[in-house]
Amino acid sequence: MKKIFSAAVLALLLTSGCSSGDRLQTSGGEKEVITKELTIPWNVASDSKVWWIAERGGQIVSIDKKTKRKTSFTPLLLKTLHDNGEGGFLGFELHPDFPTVPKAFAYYTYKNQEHIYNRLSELKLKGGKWEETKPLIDGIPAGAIHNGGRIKFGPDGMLYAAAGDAGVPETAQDGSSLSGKILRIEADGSIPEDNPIADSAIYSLGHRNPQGLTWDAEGRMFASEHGQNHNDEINEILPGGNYGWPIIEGTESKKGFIPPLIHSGAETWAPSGMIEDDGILYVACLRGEKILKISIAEKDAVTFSEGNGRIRDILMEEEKIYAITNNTDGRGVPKKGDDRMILIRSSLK
Amino acid sequence: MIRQLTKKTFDAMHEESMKSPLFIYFETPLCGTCKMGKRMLEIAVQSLEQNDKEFSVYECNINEFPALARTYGITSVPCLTVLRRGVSVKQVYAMQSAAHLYDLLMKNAR
Repeated sequence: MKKIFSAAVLALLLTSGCSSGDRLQTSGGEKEVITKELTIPWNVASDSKVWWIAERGGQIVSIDKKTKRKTSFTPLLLKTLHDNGEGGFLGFELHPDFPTVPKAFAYYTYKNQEHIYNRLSELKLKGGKWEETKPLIDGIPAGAIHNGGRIKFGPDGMLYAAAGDAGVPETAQDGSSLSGKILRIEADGSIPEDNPIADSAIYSLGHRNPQGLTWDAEGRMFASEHGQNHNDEINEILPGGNYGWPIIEGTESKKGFIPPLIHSGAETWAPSGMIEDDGILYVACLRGEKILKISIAEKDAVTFSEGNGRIRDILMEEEKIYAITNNTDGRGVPKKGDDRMILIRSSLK
Repeated sequence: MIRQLTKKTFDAMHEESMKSPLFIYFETPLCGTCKMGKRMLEIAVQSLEQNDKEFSVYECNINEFPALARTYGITSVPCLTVLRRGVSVKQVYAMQSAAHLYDLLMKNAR
């Protein structure tokens, strides 16, 4: 009943919530710019008092939820950040007990000798400074494109990381490579005993460039993924599942490969961060320049919000939905004040 | 042969660990137990080489890399760590015997 009610309310908001001339025009609720003048923000995380935004160039920006005061941190990394192409300081996730446990986790790109890698590392906040303490997963192949990068704690308390194929498609099917995979570890970096492959961080494979991870109330896991020439996908992730890249994509099917929950067909979404609320996935879209609203049960996608350019990540707390734009990343058209963190939906009412 | 880990060779060692696991023996110059442990390690490594088994083993004065103790989770010396894909996946503090280290190297080299 609750689901039907929510869907009805959202449908009403979609048809009646817009007013002309509003730059932040969206489909529901009042809108607000939380902060502006961010530089390629890639990830937004949240504790009870602060929003934490990771910028691809290697900055962590904190925003006080009450005062909206912005503070920038340059985390001290063990390796020199390599923020060329799509790489850089990407995913950022707070420890589940932050700030009592003053730790966070980051996924970043670096160069060692002639090779570039991504690593998932633990960071510590000490004396007002963030510093990397230790890598938990290292040697994730990196490239100028397809670095993946989203990291999230699942409802099972495990830390998940989305790794792209780094521009080498066949590695997504190679069980000995960490590229083109969704990875799963304990918060201390150890391999969970119930991972589908013994002594391996690999949780699922056959991914091209996954950049969004979320779970529903039942614990079902979903990931967004950039397809080749459209065919962007939203997948339900099962342990040990193979999602087919580069053997199949979009509408193609083959035994042993899991087809997407929904794909974009001939349209380009370029999906990145995502959240789930009451059976609905809200997906930040870069090239698509919108937030998609996808019904998991109906497997249909409609536009929830547009007009803010490229959207990299999305966050929901209580009933509010926030997003970060990504118009300064070299592929967008930055407007005055970009990039911004914006309130998209203030409540369901 | 056990190679010395220096600031100059660190990146090459890190790169090597991306391809296959390697071992780092952490010590300090004035530590007697470290000297005993290293002798055992040298015997183990020599025996492996005589059997045509080549493992990459480094020795490192932890005083020259103070930050590595935290990065690799080392709480005391001597410590033999297994470095796999840039991550310290095992730390051994009790060297016990050359035979024990021989088995340990064999077991963790994959």
